[in-house]
Amino acid sequence: MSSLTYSLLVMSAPLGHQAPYTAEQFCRAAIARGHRIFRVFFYHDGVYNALSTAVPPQDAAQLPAGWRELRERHDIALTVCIASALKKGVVDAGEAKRYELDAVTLDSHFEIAGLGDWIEATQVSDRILTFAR
Amino acid sequence: MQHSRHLAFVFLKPPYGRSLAADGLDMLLATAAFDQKITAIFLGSGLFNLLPGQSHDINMKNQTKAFASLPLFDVAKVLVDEREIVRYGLHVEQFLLPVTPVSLASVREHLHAADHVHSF
Repeated sequence: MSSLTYSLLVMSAPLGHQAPYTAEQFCRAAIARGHRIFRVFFYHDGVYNALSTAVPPQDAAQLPAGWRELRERHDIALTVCIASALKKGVVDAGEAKRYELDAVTLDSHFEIAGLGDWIEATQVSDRILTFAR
Repeated sequence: MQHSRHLAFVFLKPPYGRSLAADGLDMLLATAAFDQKITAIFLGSGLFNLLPGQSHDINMKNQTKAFASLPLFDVAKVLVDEREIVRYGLHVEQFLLPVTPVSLASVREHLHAADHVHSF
């Protein structure tokens, strides 16, 4: 079987929605089968996956840790849409300074970028998958 | 970008209740700015995004001007499920912009022709 390049669009928040958990597991399954993940793009409510301040219950799946590991071990780009992130309170140091906010809430394993980064992903990927429920 | 792709955007949700359709429209317009070939498809209650006369006063942003501007962004095809037009008692002239009523079989062909499909 030939190797494919995938990009994932995640549009729902963890805790309350299955979709981001499925997305994270899809990444692992695809990598295990020799495929490449070009980018995971967090859009709409998906930006809540990138919060550094979320503390999931101990008996719940530790999704933030799962995303961090995908970044650290597999070098997958975890890109957060700036338009969605800013209005929902997910900000990096640059945006926190620009808007004079008290806290930086973006986990350091994620990066903030524009929709152009997702459009790039649609150009270079063989398949895109949406996780939205 | 090395090569242009044909992208389909499918709108399934109505304009209010949640902002998924609005964010889908934002992505469509951003994609159009990169000179991609775009087909917009409205199914189910997604049709309501294309109706005029929407209220401004329920604390959800009214997106009708942006939807009406799709032809200005060279979105060549705006397809609407013909069964839903009948089911909701609408007429093709009622929409904010020129739309093409299509059968589900035709929708399937358009989705098949696209390189990627986004649905909102």
